[in-house]
Amino acid sequence: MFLEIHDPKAPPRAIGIDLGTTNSIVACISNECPIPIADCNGETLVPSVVCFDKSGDVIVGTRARERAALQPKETIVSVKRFIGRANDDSETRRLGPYTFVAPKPGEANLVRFDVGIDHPVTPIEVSAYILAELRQRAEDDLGRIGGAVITVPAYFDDTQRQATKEAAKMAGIEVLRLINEPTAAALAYGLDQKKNGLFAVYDLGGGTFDITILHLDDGVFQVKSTGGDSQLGGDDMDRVVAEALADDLGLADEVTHSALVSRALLTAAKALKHALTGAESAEYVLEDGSVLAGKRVQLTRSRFDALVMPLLDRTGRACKRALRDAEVKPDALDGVILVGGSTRVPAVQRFVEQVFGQTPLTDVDPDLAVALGAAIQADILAGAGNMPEVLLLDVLPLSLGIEVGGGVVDKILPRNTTIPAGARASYTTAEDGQTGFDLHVVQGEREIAADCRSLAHFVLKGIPPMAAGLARLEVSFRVDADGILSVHAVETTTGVEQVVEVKPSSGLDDATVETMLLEAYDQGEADLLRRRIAEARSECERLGRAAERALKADARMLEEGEREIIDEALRALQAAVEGSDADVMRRAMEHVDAVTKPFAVRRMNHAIAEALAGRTIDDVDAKPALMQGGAS
Amino acid sequence: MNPFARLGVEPKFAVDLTELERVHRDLSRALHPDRHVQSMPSERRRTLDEAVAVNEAWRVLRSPVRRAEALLALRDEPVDGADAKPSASFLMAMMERREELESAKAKGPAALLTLEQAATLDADRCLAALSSALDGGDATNGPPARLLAELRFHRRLLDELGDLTADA
Repeated sequence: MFLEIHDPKAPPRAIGIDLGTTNSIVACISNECPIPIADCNGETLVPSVVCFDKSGDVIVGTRARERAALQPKETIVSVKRFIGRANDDSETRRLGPYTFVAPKPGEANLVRFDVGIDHPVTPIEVSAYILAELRQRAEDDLGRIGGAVITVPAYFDDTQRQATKEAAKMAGIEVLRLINEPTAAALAYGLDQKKNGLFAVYDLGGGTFDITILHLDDGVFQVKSTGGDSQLGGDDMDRVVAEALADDLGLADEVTHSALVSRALLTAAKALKHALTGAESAEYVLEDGSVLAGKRVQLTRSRFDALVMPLLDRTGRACKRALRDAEVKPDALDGVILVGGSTRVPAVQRFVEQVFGQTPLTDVDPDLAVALGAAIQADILAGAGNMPEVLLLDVLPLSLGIEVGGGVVDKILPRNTTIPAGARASYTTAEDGQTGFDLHVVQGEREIAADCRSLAHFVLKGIPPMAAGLARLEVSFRVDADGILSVHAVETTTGVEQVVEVKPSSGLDDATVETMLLEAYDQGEADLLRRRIAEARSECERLGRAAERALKADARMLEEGEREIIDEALRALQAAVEGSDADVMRRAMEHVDAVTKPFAVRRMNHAIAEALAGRTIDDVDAKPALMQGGAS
Repeated sequence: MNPFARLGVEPKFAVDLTELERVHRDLSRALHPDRHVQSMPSERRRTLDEAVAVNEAWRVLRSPVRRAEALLALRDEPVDGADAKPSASFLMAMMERREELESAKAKGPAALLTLEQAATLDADRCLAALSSALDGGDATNGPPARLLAELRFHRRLLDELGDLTADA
């Protein structure tokens, strides 16, 4: 047996994670090439399945999937379909084996599974177990890991993105960036094939569908438009087939909807779908576990194609809208990239060919492309310098707005706005003496707020009574590079203001989150205080390195005496790092931040001036990166 | 800062769209948060603010309607003043187009496409008039604010037509 020795001084490596509906993958850069990280059996896919065993064990991956037939209620499959969803969402009423717990009065309206343990389990918690498993796999292979890029469907809304980040936090993973799955796939494809041009990425996964139109030009990946459906995928094909099988078997509704039978039917449907990829007809004998054990079901490809056609039509409509939003005709596309396991279905490939009028490209592994793209982006963001410099310019998938009079939505940031993005809008009072504004932030394309996703409800209070129309409320929206919104509201005549983080709640109390965090960490670090010190220390070190780099690159921009002040602050920072007081470290960081501010502004203004003058800053920036790569 | 100054382009209606894309790309390369993950926090915050402002300016200048609005704002000309009202004959013509839209809906996709072509021609003509009014001081087609209001009408009709033809 080989014993792999890790260099403890080696910088921790950043990883890319494809957190999929059906399977998840973790990847990294090795010898300047993105590769998936396999387990000891050489298996790269981790089934996104979590089983809460009666013994109290939580089982993740292949072993959990094997339990689904016998413990359908306790084994959560395709949890991604539920993440960031409300308890009364349509997804909880579809064919499936789960038992849901309705929120108690005062609790957030979230999906909660009853899995037979002491507390109901949220999708965030289930996702955290999958992420912790991937993190463990990466650490077994690489030693220490330094942050992750996690992919999400492009069409994920704010709540779903926030929930994914919270799951990562629970799993003890530092998120460098959330990136969109189709963009990640395009990155892996574009760098591999060294192609420029206009591409469509058709991404049909286990549970979600995305269509993205993007332009690849010398390392800049500019998304033109995106569209999709975060509840449309291979699982829905399985459901329509399972329902047809239930009809064939003459099952009564209450039989079909029992946990064991619905799981058995869904498993049979998936097996038939897989078999029909290469055959004209297929047969399946239902497994043990339900009253159907031993029964034979069959399906022809033409019947399967007819069953899934309505689902494909839904993807077609999204494709047409995305093309229109991008102001692109199908024949202007240089290629159509297929991503996601469901694009293996022959009917899907034929459908895509028909929609875009060209044969889709097949030189991309539909299962791996997303994870490999995430690994490339993680390596770039961590500043490792193994990959050529690329830049992803992505967009907001769904419009953001505020509910105004009559329940109508005032759109503040339209869909397909390039992120990071910001916009402002101002409102006034409708009634005399009104002392508060009730603000309702929504996301979606519908004109009525009730038809959109409600992101946050908050009240700006403490405005002195004025006549109607005199108060002036300014609302600013800011969407960061993860596609996540923050809102700032201020009443300008009095200066009353409020900043709102639009946050989802995992439905867990802080103590539970903390225990989960601790469990996710190694035994040696299983001490929250020590962990906080370690975090502050690595932040200090990062700041120190950033400052040194900036000073080395642009010393000429320093003013007289400035260097001495900055050096002094950096020495204090170094002294704080050698101590063990997290508060002292934070204060030292704040001081460095304050004294470098004017220098930072000069550096930025210089970079802007160069960009405006048309000089490629890239030439200047690329050299040190290349040298680093060459020296290591 | 006005969007023209922010992106360093000459404040006129007929902007060079290729140059605009070039500037946006180069500025994104300098300012995008992905390029500053390893920067000092003070730099991270400022470049983020600047990247947001650049994206907003770029969004304004790419849209003819918003570009015209920005140009009028720069010249201190109101966009909703008295001379912004479309003429009676224009409103009559738009009402006719609306009626044509209703009957095209009943007739089907071919009729909708024909109407879309006609409406596109109208919008293009209005855009050309607006351009020469804003950049060349040409007053023959009316003041810029009025042409801008008319352009908004054309755009709204085209949006609706686009929704209908995309679903067809």
